[in-house]
Amino acid sequence: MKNHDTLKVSDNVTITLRDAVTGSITHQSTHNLVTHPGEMFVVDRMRERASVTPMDLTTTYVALGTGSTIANYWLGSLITEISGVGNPGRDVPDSLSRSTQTVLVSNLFTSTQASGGLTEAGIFITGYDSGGNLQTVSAALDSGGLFAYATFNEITKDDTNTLTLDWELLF
Amino acid sequence: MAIQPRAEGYVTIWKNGVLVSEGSNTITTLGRNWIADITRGRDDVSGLTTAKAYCAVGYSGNTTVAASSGLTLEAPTGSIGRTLIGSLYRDTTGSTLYVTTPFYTSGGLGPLQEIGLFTTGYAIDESTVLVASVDTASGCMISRYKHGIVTNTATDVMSIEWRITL
Repeated sequence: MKNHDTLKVSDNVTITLRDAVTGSITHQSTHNLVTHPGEMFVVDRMRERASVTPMDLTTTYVALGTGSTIANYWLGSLITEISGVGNPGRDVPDSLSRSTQTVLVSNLFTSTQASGGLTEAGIFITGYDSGGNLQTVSAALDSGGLFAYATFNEITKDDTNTLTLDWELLF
Repeated sequence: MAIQPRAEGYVTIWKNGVLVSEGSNTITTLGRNWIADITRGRDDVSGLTTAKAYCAVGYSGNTTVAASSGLTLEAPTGSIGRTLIGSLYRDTTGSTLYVTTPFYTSGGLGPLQEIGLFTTGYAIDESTVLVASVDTASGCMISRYKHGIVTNTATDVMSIEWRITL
């Protein structure tokens, strides 16, 4: 009899860079952390708290950046999120699904998105922060609550390639 | 190295204001699927609210739980073996959900050995929606706690608190 059980939420990220001309592919995988506000988001979703919208294709954003930091469960944004006219650093997911207990979040950043020396990524949602303030996500820089954060070895992306980010969130 | 937040369940059972049982509880396979679904807002899936989620009590629980969708031997509806959850909250800076359900003198009577937390979610086949209602064995069992015998009579007031910490 196992009457003591725990629920782990772990997650992995795979980054795939594709050269638009040669088709060559570079892979990199890493683990990331789910922030405390991210955990609070899940609990709020469980109780259907008003204003906390689901992690879906319209109210969730994935962002890329050029900064890095040590593990910080209270992190609220990327260190240096990519932004600028003609080079947006965040977008809504292209697909979001579940397979058994794993939620899969996938983004394709095209040749005109998120160029730079990339070292960090995050999933942003609409949820409450440590002060009890609602953080509403949008396409705007640094908006929303940071659900998950990952750092990785620098990947140089420019307008000659695309980048795919695949997150696995295991509940 | 993976940095993995953990979630745990813990239950306390009170009778007439006295703690009679406490311990960690099982989160079922369906419960894990449900948490993933409620996070992403899947259609037809309900949260743990006082209008949709139920706490049920049962007798003579089996010793193992995997993808089970119900208690081993839930008290029949006629004796009010389940009721809507009573209240729930989360601390401002915490990731623990506290769910409290009272069973008043006419409910959940008997030599109880297991309890379950139910709401509406998907069955293991991923196509059948298990709708929670006051009916015995209905709904998707998120969590289960098996415990030593707690004898609840018509003169007792019993209260069950679930804590789900992510």
